Amino acid sequence: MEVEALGIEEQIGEVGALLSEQQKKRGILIQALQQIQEDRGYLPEGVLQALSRHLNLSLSEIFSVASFYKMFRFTPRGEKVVKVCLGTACYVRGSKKVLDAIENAFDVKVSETTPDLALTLETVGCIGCCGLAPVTTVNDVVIGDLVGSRKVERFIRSLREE
Amino acid sequence: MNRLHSLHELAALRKELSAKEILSPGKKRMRVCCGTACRANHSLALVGGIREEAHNHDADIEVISTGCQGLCELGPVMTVEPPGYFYHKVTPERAGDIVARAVHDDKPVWDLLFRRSIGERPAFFISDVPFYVKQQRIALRHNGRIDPTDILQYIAVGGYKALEKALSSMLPEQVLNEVKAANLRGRGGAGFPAGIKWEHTRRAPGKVKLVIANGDEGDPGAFMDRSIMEGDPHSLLEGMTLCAYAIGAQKGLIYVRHEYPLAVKHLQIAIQQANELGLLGKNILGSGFDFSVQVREGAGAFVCGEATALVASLEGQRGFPNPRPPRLSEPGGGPWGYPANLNNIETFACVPSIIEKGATWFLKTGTTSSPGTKVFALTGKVKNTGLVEVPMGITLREIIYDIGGGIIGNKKFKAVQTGGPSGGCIPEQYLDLPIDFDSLEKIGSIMGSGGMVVMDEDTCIVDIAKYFLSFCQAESCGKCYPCRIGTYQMLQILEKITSGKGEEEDIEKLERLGTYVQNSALCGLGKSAPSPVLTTIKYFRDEYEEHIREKYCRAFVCQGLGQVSINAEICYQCKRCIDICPYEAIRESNEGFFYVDQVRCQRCKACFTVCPLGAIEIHELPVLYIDKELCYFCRNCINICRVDAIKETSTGFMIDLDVCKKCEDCFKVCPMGAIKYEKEVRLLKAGAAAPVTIPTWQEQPVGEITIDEIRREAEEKTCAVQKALTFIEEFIEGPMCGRCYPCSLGTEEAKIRLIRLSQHLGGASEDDIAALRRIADFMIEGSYCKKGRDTGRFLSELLSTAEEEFRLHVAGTCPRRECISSIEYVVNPDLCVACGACAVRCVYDAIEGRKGDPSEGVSPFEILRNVCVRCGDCVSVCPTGAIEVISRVREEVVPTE
Repeated sequence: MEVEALGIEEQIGEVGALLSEQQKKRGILIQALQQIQEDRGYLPEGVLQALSRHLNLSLSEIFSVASFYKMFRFTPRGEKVVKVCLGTACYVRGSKKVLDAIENAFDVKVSETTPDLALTLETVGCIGCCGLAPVTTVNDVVIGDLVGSRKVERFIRSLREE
Repeated sequence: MNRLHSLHELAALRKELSAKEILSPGKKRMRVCCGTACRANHSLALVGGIREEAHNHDADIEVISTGCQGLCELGPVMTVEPPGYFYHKVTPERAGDIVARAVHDDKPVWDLLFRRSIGERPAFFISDVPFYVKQQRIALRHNGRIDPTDILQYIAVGGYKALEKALSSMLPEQVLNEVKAANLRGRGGAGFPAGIKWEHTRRAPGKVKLVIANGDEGDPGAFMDRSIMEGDPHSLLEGMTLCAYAIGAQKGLIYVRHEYPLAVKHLQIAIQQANELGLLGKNILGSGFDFSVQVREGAGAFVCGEATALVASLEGQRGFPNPRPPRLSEPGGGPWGYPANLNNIETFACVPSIIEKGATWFLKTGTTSSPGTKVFALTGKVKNTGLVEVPMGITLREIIYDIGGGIIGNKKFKAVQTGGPSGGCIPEQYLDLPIDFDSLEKIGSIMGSGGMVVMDEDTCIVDIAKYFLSFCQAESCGKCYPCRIGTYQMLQILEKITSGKGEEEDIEKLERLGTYVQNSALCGLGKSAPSPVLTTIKYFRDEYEEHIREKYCRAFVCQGLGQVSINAEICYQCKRCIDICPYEAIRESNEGFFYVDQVRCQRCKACFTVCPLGAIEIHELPVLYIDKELCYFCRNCINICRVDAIKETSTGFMIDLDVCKKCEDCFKVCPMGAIKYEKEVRLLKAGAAAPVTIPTWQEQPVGEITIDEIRREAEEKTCAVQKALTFIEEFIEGPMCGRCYPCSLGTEEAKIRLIRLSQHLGGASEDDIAALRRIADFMIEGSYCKKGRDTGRFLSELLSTAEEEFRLHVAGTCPRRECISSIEYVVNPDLCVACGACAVRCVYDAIEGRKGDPSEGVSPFEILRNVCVRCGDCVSVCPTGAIEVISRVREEVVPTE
């Protein structure tokens, strides 16, 4: 995605009618960052520099916003992104064990990526499938009910495949 | 779709839809839940399967993929009309069965119906399922009934009627007054009346105003807003439009959490369809009223659920909250300075019903101070988890036990956490409290967004408080000190308590810090962050004290509390603890006992839970120190310590208590006894209620057994052979010294011959009796001492007085029935009435047969001769005397005396 091609008017939508030019540019910052990340998988510095010029915002301001929100990353991610839910319901039903098992199996810590870029391990607060607790997602596909070491083992084996 | 230009055209469209029989009763229709939870269980594949099967059968079936139907635990769920069967746990493979049943005979697929237990009748309809019985749906009224991606279905079930009513017959003030009269309180947390908020915004100067829907639902365990946005987005849009009409706003924004991609998709489809139909946009339904809505996605920050932080995020800033005033409803408060009205998703979803049916209708439900219903996300350790919408004023007990089905595994209820990380824990004593905004606030919790996490006795309350606080601490934006530093410090103290290093004043420190944070934090997140800790201290103070004083966690959750050890006197080495221990901390000692290696033990207490005897004990952690007066620096302790806890200092050796694992190895090797316990270690918890007494074999002190004692013992027997055998055996065991042959060899031979007689082994004969007589005579004459001579005399007397009995034994009969090896029990089939009393009585399962009336051909009972130990119990219970004793050798009945 070319940052320069980002249409400010279409991004800001109808609210734009109420806003000044700079407010509009500022207003689409988060959306723009989201789109860059969707495109590249993370926020490369070069792209952010281009964005800084395009939106007329200093790079430090962009970093300040991007580092505040949890979803933005400045490093590339693995092919499989495994998110373990540590929400209350999942926590109560033992999602910590699932997390430990994955950490041990792949020798990664939370929010780290394996050196071969195969897997990134993350945690989330709650993905709202508390009925299926404990839940993990692999590239946004929800896998629930990982109770018991046998199910966890099978899950880890499925992560290794392909 | 053609744009609707007037109210009449909307009414006409609705009429047209009913003519087309969209969602009309009587038609074959299947509603499959396609909420996020059911999607994870392949409900989309199920929908595809049903469509395909319906096509194959050439059947006209309307398949609707709906939003969340609530009972996520048993998903995917679906209903089949007619007549409305409710199926649960439907896998895609079952599509064929379901369609075939629906096409052919309208009978249910029996195994997919909900049953509370296998022995109960199934619930046919959704209204029969206990989970749904007490629910009343206002905010979720269309959830699970319509396809959220089709505006026509929403209109067909009466959607946009409220907007029609408002635009045709109500002034903006009237709409506002209706909401005010209904006393609709904000469903997002604090419960501020929506009508008053609307009025503030309406009164604010300036022409430009905004409506914001807060869909940044970040509380762990809450998903009611998501289910509305995904399952019924038009209710939200209609509610927002009504609000905009009432307060005079032109633009609307929906701020949706980044984690809800499906909600964003459905909202965008809904907005586009509403725009096409002219229900949003310029000149809505020809009334001259303009209102447009757009969706903005969050980027994963919990604090953005707070109104001012949300505004900052909308503007493209960091999601920092701002001090109020200015409120959002005042100029300068909302995004870009425009006054804005912000409500929760659920609040907006309630508005259309209120306008359509009137405030008086709404006031009929719920309590006086909090009318209406509330959606709760019921999760945690309850049997049925999912979304429930219940009228305000319902008790927690009804929600947890009637709707939720009780605690998993029928364990004991401990507490329920309401309101997510900002709420509090409610103990058992308030289970019967009718819940609404005010009653919950009174007991220190909040309604919050409606998360409800149920905890049972296996949940440690301190650990839960720590968990919620660590959530708030991690999500703290860091703008104000009380929240950023206060929550961190509180977390450190809790960390200290749960790892067994708690100190006496920690609870008071927590309370003081918590109150500071509550009073001085900038935003709602910070103000409510200490609530879980403060409420749990209020209601479960004893548990905190247990952690601090006794270093003991009653739920066995907190690691590092107490020292686990095995009581070798109780342990019988079943090895269950070794199998379960994840750290291989349970070892076998050289003496064959099991013990806990303290260096490896992580105090997870898994062994405690599996030990069947309760041999695992939890002690207070011992504190060891080195007595400098005694220590002569031999370094044995330093050499043996595996964790290098013993340090050399200029004044001597010292144990570093933070490093020390209390394995007591140094204690054992110190030659001087210089390593000492600071105080006696108390036992905190032993699994066995009372110490189990394990019988141990002890050598009896051998006193002199006299011949008289032996004689007395022998006389207790009735059978002469047994008398003689007992006497001889006891004599050999006790007083026999083995010095003279008549005694030593004679008794041995006598024993062998007597055993042969009593058990009829190897053909006992008259020779045996003759031999016994000879032995007796020899002993009387030839023994050195009186003991031997007495023995011979006893034997001789018996042989002469009970000669007949001895002879009977030779023939294979013990007339006293005491020599059990020679007899056998049999059932006399003529007398047996097959009552079964003997079989019940027999503890060796030696009697077989079937109860019944023998006259009807039921065969009598049989005694298995190899199993029977001839205890005689069956004889005593037999009512007809059918069990007879026969001689094993002669196979004839032994007469009783």
